Amino acid sequence: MMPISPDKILPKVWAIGGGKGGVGKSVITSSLGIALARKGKRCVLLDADLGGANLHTLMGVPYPKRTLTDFLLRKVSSLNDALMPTSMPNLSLISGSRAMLEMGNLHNAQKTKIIRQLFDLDADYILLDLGAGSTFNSLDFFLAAHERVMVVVPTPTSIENAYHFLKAAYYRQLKHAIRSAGAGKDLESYLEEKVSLGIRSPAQFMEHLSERIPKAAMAIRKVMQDFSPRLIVNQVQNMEEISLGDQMVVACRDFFGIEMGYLGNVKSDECVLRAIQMRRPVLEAFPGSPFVSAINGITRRLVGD
Amino acid sequence: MDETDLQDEFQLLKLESGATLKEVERAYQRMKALYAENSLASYSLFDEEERCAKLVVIERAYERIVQFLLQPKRHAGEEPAAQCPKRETDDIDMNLAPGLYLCAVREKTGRSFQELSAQTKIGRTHMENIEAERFEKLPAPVYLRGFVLEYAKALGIGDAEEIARIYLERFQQFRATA
Ligand SMILES: Nc1ncnc2c1ncn2[C@@H]1O[C@H](COP(=O)(O)OP(=O)(O)O)[C@@H](O)[C@H]1O
Ligand SMILES: [Mg+2]
Repeated sequence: MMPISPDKILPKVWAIGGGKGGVGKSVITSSLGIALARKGKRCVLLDADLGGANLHTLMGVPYPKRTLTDFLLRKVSSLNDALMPTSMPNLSLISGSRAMLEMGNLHNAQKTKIIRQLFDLDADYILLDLGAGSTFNSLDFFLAAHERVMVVVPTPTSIENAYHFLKAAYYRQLKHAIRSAGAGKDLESYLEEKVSLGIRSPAQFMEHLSERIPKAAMAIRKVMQDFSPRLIVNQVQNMEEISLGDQMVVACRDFFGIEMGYLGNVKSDECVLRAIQMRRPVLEAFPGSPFVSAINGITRRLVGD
Repeated sequence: MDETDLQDEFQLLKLESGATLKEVERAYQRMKALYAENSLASYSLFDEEERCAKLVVIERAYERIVQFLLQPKRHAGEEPAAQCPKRETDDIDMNLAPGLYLCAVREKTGRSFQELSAQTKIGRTHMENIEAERFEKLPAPVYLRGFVLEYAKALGIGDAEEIARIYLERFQQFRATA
């Protein structure tokens, strides 16, 4: 690998996940990418949904010549060589299409290789479109990112899947935190015993740790503070659903003891389907639509300006 | 009682220090909605037992904060005046918190439950439940309307019909979500 020069600015990585399929992760990922590219940021979209890759279609690249599969099969040596330009300036794609069935679940080594090379890509932003479910694939890409964005829609199944995903991600991060706090095996067994201790929520678990091992608990708490996921509520239809985001933030504070950043909601907008049918990005086809103004707002909040 | 004695309660309702009654009321309604049965945002994180426990704690916190905010303000060194200024009904929105409004008016008039109960023939528990909006403990709408109307009249509230209407609307809302 090339040594990283000190003035090289590492790309910011955003992961877009949330557990359930069909909630709008891919549409939102591609739209965020386009919004960033239009701001003049060099942006790479990586389709990490190897079981159901479709970003290439949303980006108008029906038959990508190079894909993540080529990288995994070592047909190209670096992730950089798997990049495909799109019709938009500043925006390229690493497609997940033609991934073979067994690739739905990457080996640890492959995953690590992708994640390591991600941060070496020459770009300002890298957006990861995650697959459905709480697979280790999705969890590890999610946790590797700087910004961890969850997309939900106001339905019981979506919220349930999102919370399941969040719990899985939280405990995976907690395990890492426990290890790096040097608290070792003891704590991991605490984690395994939490049910018999009557501990139900991560917030209670942290309280329990603070009493038993205050010093390590403090270090762990600090790491967990960085967990801070972000939330988008997509496809909202009425006032009641608009308040769901704020409610989920409070519920997560009570349950996990963590702050989830609410990025906003996106209304259900027929322009989205129409644009997909036209095989054109919504931002191009319907620049004045409510969907696009919501995406622009969310992009601003994520970029931090 | 001091606001610092109520830190847990403020935190529980996610309130900033110095919150007004209106803000307290809104926060309370938000939290109740969050932990209502079938609430989309909470049902898959908390089981029935935890959910009910949360509601109890929320209710208690709300009552304590309201009690604190409504206590007659006393300035340092000042003797508690015999006719101490009662809570302000002006900063309570009848539409948002009809129960609280009734409570404020009662305290302002300085009348006791005993006295009011004798006049209206409504039991003290009912009056307390009406004020605290313990909807689950209140009687069926036909009776409830009469109770609220009588109670509001006894308190000398001009538009007793209006507050009874608002109260019933809230009650129905609660029924619909419970
Ligand atoms: N805000 C929205 N308004 C209307 N339809 C939407 C919206 N967001 C997504 N959709 C619809 O949902 C479908 C699934 O979106 P997609 O991004 O593929 O989901 P995921 O990647 O989460 O599986 C899209 O084809 C689109 O028609
Ligand atoms: Mg997708």
